[in-house]
Amino acid sequence: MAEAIRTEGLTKTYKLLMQKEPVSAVSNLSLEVEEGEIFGFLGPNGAGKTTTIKMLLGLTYPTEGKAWVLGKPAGDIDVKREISYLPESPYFYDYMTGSEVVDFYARLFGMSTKARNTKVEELLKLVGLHHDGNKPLNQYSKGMLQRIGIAQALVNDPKLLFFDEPTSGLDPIAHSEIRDLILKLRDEGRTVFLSSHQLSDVETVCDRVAILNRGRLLKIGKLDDLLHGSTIEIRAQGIGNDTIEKLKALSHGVRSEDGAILISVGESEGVNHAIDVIRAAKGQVLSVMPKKRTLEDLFMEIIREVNN
Amino acid sequence: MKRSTRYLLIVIAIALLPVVAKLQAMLDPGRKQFQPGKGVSSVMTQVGNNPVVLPSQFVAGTVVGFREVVAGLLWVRVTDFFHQGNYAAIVPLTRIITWLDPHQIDVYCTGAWHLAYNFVDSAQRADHRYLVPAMKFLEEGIKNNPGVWDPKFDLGFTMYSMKAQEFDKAVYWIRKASQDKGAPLRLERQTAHNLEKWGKIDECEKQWLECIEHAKAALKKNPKDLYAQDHLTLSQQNLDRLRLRRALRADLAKRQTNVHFEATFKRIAPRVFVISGKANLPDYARISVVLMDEDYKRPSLKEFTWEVDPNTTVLWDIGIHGIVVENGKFERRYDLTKDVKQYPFKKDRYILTLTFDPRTAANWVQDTTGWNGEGITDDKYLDTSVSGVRRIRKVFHLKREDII
Amino acid sequence: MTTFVIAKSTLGEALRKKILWIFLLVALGMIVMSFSFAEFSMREELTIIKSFGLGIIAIAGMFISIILSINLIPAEIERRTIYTILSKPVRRHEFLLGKFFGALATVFVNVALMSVIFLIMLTWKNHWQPDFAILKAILMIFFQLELLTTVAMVFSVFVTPVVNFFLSSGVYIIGSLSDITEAMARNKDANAFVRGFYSVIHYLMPNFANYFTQNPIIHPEAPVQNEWAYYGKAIAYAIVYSSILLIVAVVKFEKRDM
Repeated sequence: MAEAIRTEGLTKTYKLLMQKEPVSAVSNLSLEVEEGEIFGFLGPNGAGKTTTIKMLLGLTYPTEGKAWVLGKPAGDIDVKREISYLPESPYFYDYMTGSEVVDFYARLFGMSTKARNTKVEELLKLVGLHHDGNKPLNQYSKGMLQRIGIAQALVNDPKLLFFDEPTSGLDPIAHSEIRDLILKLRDEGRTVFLSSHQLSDVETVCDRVAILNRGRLLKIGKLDDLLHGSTIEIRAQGIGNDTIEKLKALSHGVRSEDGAILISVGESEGVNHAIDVIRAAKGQVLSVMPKKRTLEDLFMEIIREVNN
Repeated sequence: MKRSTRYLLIVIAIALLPVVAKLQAMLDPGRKQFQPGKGVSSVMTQVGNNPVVLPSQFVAGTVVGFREVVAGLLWVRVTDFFHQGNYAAIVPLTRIITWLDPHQIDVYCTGAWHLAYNFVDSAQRADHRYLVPAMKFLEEGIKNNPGVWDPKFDLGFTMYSMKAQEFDKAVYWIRKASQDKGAPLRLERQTAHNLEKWGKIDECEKQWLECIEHAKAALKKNPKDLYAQDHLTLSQQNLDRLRLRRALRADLAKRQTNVHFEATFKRIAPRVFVISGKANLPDYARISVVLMDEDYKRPSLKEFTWEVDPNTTVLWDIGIHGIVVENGKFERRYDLTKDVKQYPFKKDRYILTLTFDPRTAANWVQDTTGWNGEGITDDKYLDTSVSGVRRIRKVFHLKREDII
Repeated sequence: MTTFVIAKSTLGEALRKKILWIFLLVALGMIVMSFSFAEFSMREELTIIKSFGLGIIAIAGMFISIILSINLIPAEIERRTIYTILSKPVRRHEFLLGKFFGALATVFVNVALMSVIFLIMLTWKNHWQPDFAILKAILMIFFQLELLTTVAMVFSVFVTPVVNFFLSSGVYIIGSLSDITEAMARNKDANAFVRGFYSVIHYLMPNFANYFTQNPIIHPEAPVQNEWAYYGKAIAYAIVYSSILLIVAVVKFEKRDM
């Protein structure tokens, strides 16, 4: 499959006035995004996600490294006909009405009046704003602004969409609708580059994810691969500290909860060994439960690792 | 944008810089006619011993080129001062305004008028020392506005005719003014009147005929031109009167009136004196009084200044300000005690001249004296120093102690 | 085409800015008030009214130009509207020029509005005899403001709005001191360095004094030689100088990180 996005050693450093050392926003980022996939781009605040997106869009120039979008250098004017961008908390000219905003962006693609009119109507319907298209944007709620943002991002039927926190500020219903829309876009063969803090959304829709922190790429891969290896949790009681120490040595971790001891074990062999230790200590096994690893778990683990 | 395109643009920008410099050099000479004022240097300067400083709130305006606005604001301020009677404040402002904008014709005319008329003593007698600055101010106005009639007319009429009674110069300037574009027809009539005052009766008649001709020409172009109609009517009437008077006065030289002029000067108190006398002249003939320093010479100014010599004394009661003759007698008491600044009497010696000049007399007086005094004589005080004119003149040589 | 679209949206947004309307209304009010001087002769009155009217249009136009232009680019970056626009097939120079022409159109609309009101009132005062000569002065005022708008816009690519306000105002003031800079550049008593310095300022800095041409309009009796030749050169100066400034802005903006 062709690549929608490719970066090689992409780096962005800033020289700040009062600091001797330049600050690195993105450092040696190399990744690929396949066409037709939904790619999740994660990281804590200040990780370099938005900077990366800006470099891919040609809004910011890399200090080092290269990037290609749809096979052409990032920022190429022709490529921009095939891509779109929805920034975080988008702002538009608030004196315009909803339909005027979409029309404005359609004009930037040189669309004819007829084509624009059709598109505006279609997109306002798609994002659920066909009754509010004639209101000025300064009367729109945050959610409505987000929808208009999505509408402008779809005005040119893009092959590749960059979404930066698309569900930010939306109610649960709208949240769900956006998720469905993203999935629909993928089904239509489009590529979606999704930067988001909403890990549940990413986990639901993304095919692959990359995790960034302090400008560096920490993990990249398919979700299934990254999240494989679930844990089993044993709940026991009536065991002393000696036994707890033994259990710590052969598990991922031991903690107490509501008067019971919870032991996380990696695989079934370890489960049997742990149960043997508990029984030998005349303890009681209350329950044995498999626990699936979440993206949040992975994210927190990785971030913690790096911070340590 | 390709790097080559960027470099090309930079080269184009650099190449256009000399074009800009050249255009600026081409604009500089022409710019001055659009900004005739002295601009920033008007902010503060010296006029004689008087520093002239533009009020700070107006400085920004001159600096950034809004001179006309500043000039307008100052002119509004001048009217405030006028209503307050603060004439001393007006003159520096008129100076600044005309520096900022030398095309402010009304400011030249009004400023000159203030100088010549509004610095007065307690008897509302104008300070003659300001006449020359007033004239100089108008001359500057004429120089800066060569095609405009107003300052020329004011110089001729207000200054030379009314104030100085130098009718040759009055005629010169009024005639010049009448030839400017847009000059009203009445200037032609004023030329005629001043020719009459000058005693040039034949030329005066010619001038009236010219007025009539011009009025008819104007009416041919526009029969509803009210000014032309007035001009025709008045010129015709004045011509008829002139001719009638000439006929009536034709033989005055043969029946001259002996004026038997007598006059005395009597000091009553320091700075208080009475001038009195007799003159065999019709009622309301006027005797001009000029009292000045013995060495007084009208100053000649290179450029306008409102600075006058504070040690000079000139009292100038001429024309309609002269002493009225009634029943063959005249008398006036002068009390200069309150006007020490205007009449300092610093010098040791003074000349007091009493004059009856028939050229400036009222018509009924001239019916006896003639235009140029051909109908009068006097045993002691007949003065023929002005060619073609017979005046009555008595001169007193006084010392300071005679007055103070 | 893209430039036009952006210019149109810039105009639309600018015409809705309250602060510009405040300046405009204050200027219009002052123009109307300047007709209240009734105690002068007719010519004096017209002189004062024309001086004030043209002065007010120029001063108001100056403030409108600066305040509008200092925020042209920074506001777009701060609000991040520029991201959604430049992520479309819009070249940076198209965006920049679009903003510039939009600002210029706004200045034009403001000057035109003030001029129309002024001309109507002047015509009324002059017994309904219009004095279209006023339009010459207004034409020059417009090109002066065009140059000022370009200066402020170029600075907006480099510096923050606050710094830009003082920079642009400073350039305007220096550029209005042509009498001084020209005199200093030609001053034979000064040393070569001083003359050179003032020559650079006079011939290479934008010269706003070229456009103070209201004097012969206010005093029509004052003759002017080759009037239209002067206007032509002044307009050419504005266009050429603006082109240089726009090139600088385009080149800088191309490499700027958003």
